[in-house]
Amino acid sequence: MIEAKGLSKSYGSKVAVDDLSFEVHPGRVTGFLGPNGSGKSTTMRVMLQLDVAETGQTLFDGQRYADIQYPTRTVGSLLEAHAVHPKVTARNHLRALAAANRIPETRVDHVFGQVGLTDAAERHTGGFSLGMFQRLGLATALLGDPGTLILDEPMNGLDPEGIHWIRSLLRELAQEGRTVFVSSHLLAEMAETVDDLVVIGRGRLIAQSALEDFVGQARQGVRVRSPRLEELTRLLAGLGAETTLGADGSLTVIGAEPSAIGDLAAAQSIPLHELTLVSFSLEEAFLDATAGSGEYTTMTDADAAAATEEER
Amino acid sequence: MNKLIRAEWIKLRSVRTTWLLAIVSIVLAVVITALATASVEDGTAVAERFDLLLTPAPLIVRLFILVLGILAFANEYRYGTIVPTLAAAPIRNELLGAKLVVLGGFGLVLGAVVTLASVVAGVTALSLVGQPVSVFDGEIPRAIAGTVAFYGICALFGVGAGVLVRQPTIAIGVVIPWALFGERALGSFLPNLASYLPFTAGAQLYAVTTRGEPLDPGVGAALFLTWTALLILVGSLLFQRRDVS
Repeated sequence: MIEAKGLSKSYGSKVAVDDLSFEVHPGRVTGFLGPNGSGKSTTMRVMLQLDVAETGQTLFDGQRYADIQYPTRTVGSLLEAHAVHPKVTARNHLRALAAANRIPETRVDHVFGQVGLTDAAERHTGGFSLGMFQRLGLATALLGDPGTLILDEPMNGLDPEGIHWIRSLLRELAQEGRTVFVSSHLLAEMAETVDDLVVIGRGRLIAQSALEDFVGQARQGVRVRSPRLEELTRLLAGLGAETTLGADGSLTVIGAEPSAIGDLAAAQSIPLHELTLVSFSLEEAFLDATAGSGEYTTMTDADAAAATEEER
Repeated sequence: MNKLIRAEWIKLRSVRTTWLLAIVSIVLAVVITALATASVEDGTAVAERFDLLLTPAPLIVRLFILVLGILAFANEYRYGTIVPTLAAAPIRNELLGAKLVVLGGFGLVLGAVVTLASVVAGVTALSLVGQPVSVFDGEIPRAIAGTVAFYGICALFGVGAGVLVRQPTIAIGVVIPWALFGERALGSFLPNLASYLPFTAGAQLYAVTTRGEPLDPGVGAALFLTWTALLILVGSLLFQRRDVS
């Protein structure tokens, strides 16, 4: 079990993580979600005491990371997949990391098999593709057969097959009773994989809950079609409901039950062509929860993509 | 710390740069020493003959051993491997200690090979021109051992500079010119000070004659070690407090 308590971290005057607390439980995959620049990577570095927190601490089964005698046998991490000397073979890279925690060398071959890199083990990592780096990073995390895994965007740069593979791997690791904490800025790629969610925006906790609860908490709406939509919109505003006119000519109403909308329309003899209860998709729930909390919310998608590139 | 020493030794020997720098050091030392002995004139005293034989190689070879030391940390920052390295070794002074042991040891062994090769080359060259020397005379054994120690300390100095500066290009760009001519340039302005600077003081380790320097070999060695320890101490204090990113 991971307990993060009151973590804060700033770089100069920029607050990256702000009094962040959450718990991650064993036997479950916990998704760590937030827009780009919301402080996910910083949080993970602070958890592992790679960056020095201003306040707070993280406990792994009650121990701080640096107090664990053989840390990579307890907590396996993938923070930067590209963190390899390009002129070193994948095997020598892992051999050194294994030696540092007295992990037997047989584990090196075992994890290469586990991530499907056996054939590339003797190659210099300079020629690796992004997907191979992610696999090597996962091999590094799994090297010590740890009970806890912390993975930063492990699906980045993988093809659909690779993403499918990671999903089943994460499920498998959780089923074995491990604590799996995995970050992503895309809820869609996590939706089928995670049991629990920790959602942050601008370094602050937005939500922590089981996946179902998060979706359940999300607001529901009612889709309405009517030839006298303008009139209906005015009446709904009188009820204090929020309305959005869709591109397809339907009206999405938030804050009024379907029965109330129906009664209102009937009282004014407004014909209704559709009255449907809609629950927002997971993605919409996520966007709703993190609205305005991203670093690049006012940018276009292209700008945001460019900014993400710069971050790397 | 043994486990970290093993890990650092695997890292050091699995990059080709290590062996390239080692081979270049040995070859250059032999060539420089053989050339230097050509300038020995008839009737030069044995001690001075040996000085001419022993002192030129360390002027250049130190640069390669310094670079080896610098890269121990600086390349970890350059390639980002400091992240998995520190994840496996979160107590930072233990990591620094392991790198000092491995690089210091490697510097000593490489230094011994370099020194042996250049002494053999120099003695052979001198006897070919009819100026034989015995390596057991007077201060000569001490100077030979001192040369080896000098290389070992150079490696430690490099590790200290690397952990302090972190970027390999900046660390190399500052330390190499300093070790090559910086101290001598400073010495031309402040002649009294120059003898106490790290590499000038350290040079007393491999000098057979005092060559007009005010420090004797022991004091020179102590000063060089003190400078190196100071550099490592400052590097260590910053290393404790710094973020990895």
